[in-house]
Amino acid sequence: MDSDVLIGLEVHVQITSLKTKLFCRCSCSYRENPPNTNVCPICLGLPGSLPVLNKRAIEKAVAVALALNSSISDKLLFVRKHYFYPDLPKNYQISQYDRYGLTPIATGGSVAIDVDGLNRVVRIRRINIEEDAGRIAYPEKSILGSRYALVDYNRAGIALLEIVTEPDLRTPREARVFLEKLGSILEHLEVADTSLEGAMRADANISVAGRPRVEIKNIGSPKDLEKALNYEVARQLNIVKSGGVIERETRHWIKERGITVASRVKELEGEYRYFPDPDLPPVPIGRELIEAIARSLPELPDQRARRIAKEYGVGDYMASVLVLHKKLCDHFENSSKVCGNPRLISSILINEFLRWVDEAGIDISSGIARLSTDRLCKLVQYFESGLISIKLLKEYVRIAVLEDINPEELRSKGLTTLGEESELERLVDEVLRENPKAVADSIRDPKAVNFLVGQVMKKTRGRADPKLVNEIIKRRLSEYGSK
Amino acid sequence: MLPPQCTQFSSISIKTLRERVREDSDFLFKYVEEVYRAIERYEQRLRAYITLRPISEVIDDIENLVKHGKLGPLGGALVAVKDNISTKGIRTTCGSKMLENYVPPYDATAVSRIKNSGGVVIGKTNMDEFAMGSTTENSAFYPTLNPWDYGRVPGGSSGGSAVAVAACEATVSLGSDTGGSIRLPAAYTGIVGLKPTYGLVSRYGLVAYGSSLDQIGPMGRCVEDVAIVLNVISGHDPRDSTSLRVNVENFEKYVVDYPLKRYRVVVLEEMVSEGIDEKVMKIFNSTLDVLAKRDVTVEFRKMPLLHYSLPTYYIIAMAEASSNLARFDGLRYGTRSEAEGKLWVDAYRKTRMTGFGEEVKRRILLGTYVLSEGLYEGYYLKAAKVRRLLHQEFTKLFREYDAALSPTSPTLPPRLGEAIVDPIKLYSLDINTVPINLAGLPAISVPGGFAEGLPVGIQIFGPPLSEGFLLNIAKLIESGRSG
Amino acid sequence: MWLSRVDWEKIIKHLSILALVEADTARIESLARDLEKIVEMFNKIVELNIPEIVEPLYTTFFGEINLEEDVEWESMGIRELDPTGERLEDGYVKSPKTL
Ligand SMILES: [Zn+2]
Repeated sequence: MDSDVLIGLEVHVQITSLKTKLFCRCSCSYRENPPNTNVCPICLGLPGSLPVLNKRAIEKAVAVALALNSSISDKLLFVRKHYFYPDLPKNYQISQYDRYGLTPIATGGSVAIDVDGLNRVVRIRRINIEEDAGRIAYPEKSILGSRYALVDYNRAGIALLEIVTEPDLRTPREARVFLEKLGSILEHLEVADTSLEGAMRADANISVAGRPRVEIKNIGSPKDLEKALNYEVARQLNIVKSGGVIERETRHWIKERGITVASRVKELEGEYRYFPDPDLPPVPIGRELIEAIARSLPELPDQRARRIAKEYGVGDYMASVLVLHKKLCDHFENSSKVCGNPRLISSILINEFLRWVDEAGIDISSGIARLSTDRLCKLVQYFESGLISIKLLKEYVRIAVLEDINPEELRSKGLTTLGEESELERLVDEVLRENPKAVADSIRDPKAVNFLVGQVMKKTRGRADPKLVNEIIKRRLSEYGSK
Repeated sequence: MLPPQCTQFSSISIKTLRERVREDSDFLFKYVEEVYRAIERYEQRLRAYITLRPISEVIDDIENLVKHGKLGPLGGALVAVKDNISTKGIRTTCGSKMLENYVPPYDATAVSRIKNSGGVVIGKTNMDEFAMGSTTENSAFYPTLNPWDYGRVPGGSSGGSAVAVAACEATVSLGSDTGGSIRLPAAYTGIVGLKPTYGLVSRYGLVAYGSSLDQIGPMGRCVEDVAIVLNVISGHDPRDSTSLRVNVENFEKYVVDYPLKRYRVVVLEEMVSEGIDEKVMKIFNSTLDVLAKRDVTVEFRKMPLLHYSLPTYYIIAMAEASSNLARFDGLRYGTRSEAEGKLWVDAYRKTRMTGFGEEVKRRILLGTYVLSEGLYEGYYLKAAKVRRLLHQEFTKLFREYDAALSPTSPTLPPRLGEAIVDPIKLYSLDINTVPINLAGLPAISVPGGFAEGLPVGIQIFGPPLSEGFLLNIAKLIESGRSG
Repeated sequence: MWLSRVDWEKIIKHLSILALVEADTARIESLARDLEKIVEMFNKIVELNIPEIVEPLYTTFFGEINLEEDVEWESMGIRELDPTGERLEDGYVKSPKTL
């Protein structure tokens, strides 16, 4: 079935590292501001206003093109893409185009991904620079049932990169990993903080079993991308199975309900009437500029994965997963430096941490705040000194991420105490008191001690480290013996 | 020669105004009163203005200028501004119902330069809706009449700016010229109008019609006034990406009554052949005689490509217009229809149906047509290629000649209602002016004489940034003409 | 590219959808006549032969384009555009329904 799925992505990424919008100098920090406060005649599209290009946006776009091995155009050409929508102040978007002798800033390139140990190369078709639209809200909190909409133009005009892939992705999981990898590249380049709400959005084109392709719009994160595509594959396979016809159409991902729905306005689609924006003459992109940016490119995920695998001995696969999230990888390296044991840390981060971050529905940064280097090191220290078992270590990670609790505070929850010797000693003493016969047996025959260990483990509901329990019992027995 | 609405006092030039104010500090206030007297008497018939500022406001502004010693190069001149140039706090309608109540929150660069140089905006002038027209009959409010003959049109689209100056209801004015909109009304009302080199005057704040063709330019009763205003409004503006970085010369020094060099000028035969009124030709030929007496060499050349300039111009202008006018949806500013309950496309359609006049709709539809899928290459792209060829021809031509001459219009001012019944006839009025905008060249229209009591304008155009020489040649015609 | 008037009425309907400019039903016939005439004028250049290598000219600005530094300025806020707030609700611009 999977071999019959073809997925291509159109990813929109805000260049969040810019302070100001693409064609005016209004602030980009719309997330913190009241609606329609970061606006001016230009980003509101007032009659007579004109765009002036943000110089740094070119540099950021060139860096991305270099990182994706794309070929960069010798000039920057902008076009107008026309459609009417309330979030689009001019009713055209300043964007780029690849027909009629026009060209986007970059074409070609590729991204290598490692999906559960399987290596794949995803080809990039093109990279556009364009402006973002405003944000639409609804008075009834939902698009359905609202008699009108509300528009905030603070986001209108923010610089976006549109990165389009060839249909090289074969599974929803691959699509997710690709998007995570792309996000990580952009974060390593310090182009975008993709964890910010709305900073990275994707439209997916998906074709199942050779049927016409369906476009799914409005997907806000790698996780949602996987969900939306899983839903769509199942939906389309169902139609195919029941002998139905899949139409070429545009659908919207409704995150809250976990479904895609068909878009209703078909008459306006497709005819965008692109033509070169006469307000923005071509901007030459000099070889010197490209070379200067190439020289100052930071370490990128692939290089970093190779270095990490070697430097920390965590293995290629672990390294490739760590670099999918720059912040996670930074956290890994920081923590490994502070408290050692990189293998344990990578395994905690990849196998436990990521899972609970997902479950908690928080982003990686918030997850890291909850499982800080301090806390992580404490856990590693507990584990290494035998205070806690691997099982309990995992439990601590879960609680730390889901409930934001310091390992030290877990004591009051009746969990941490189990890791501490004094508490275990108390339990051991209890068990020894309750089982005088077994104590006598054990003093004679060291093998019989296992029964006592089992009793202690029972009392702790399996949370204590058996090795540690064994040691404490032996110590106690030798004390008894000497009496 | 001035029309009957003017008095010697009200027709005073900027330079004289400056001199008289130096002798008599009250002179400026007397002048303002004189101008408002003319307005009181004639404006009801002529209808040059859409919005006229009350005399008290204008007096206040002048008092402020006097108090702060900021009379500057304009010396308190009353500047009438075409109603498609944004004025902060003064409504800017573009001659359209769509913007009947639109008050811009910012000044166009040209307007703030006027204000900073001792000019006072007296009002906003009538125009063809969104500058689409050549007679000012396409104003959504009322037509403006020709001060020389109330039965005739003043030309357009800057008809109001031309009449305000011609009838001495202002000192000077700003117009905009996309395909002749300054020069044609200047010719029909017997004043001087200059369309600058593309990029010499900032377009920031000019409500766009054809962005790659539009320029703001000065209109005045004499060449010298035009030069003085050009000094003020020209020069680099960082807010307009198509603004040239040139050190602006003092254009006033070109306004001398002797030739600054041995000029070689050319007449393109296509501009004086078919469809030219004999009476116009007579004046044109007498103008050539005037110049010949000033040692100007006149030669005749052919440029067959000019036969294609009208379709080329209208394809490009309409394509750009259809895009520029997309933003008028009634949401953020301008005429709006009730938001609640309706779908945005229906609300927009209603706003645009009632807000736009017939000619505007016609041009939007045609602009949409030439940009649409499958037709783009045949029309828009082809027109852009013809434009390239035309540009090359002019470049070659002006390697040999300093300037070129033609009648501004092939005819005398049409009677009211005569031209607008047939769109092709209407468009043909621009036959000699549109090639100049296609090539981005500077051009000036200067009165060459009178035929049947109606003014005839002479167009002088030259290579980019040749405004100085054009002003000098215009001055030779101005001082040499008999009538 | 030579079309009958009936075709033109159809084209106008399609263009109206794209441009959201409605043609008055009563006027559609005269509009069709006008558009046909104007497009006939346009067609003059369609017949013109131009060598393939001629590059289109989109602007006559050949100067150095100004670029903006990435430094914030003071934004104006929507209230300056709509002082009475008649188009606003809680600072948002009220818009018709969307899909
Ligand atoms: Zn802005």
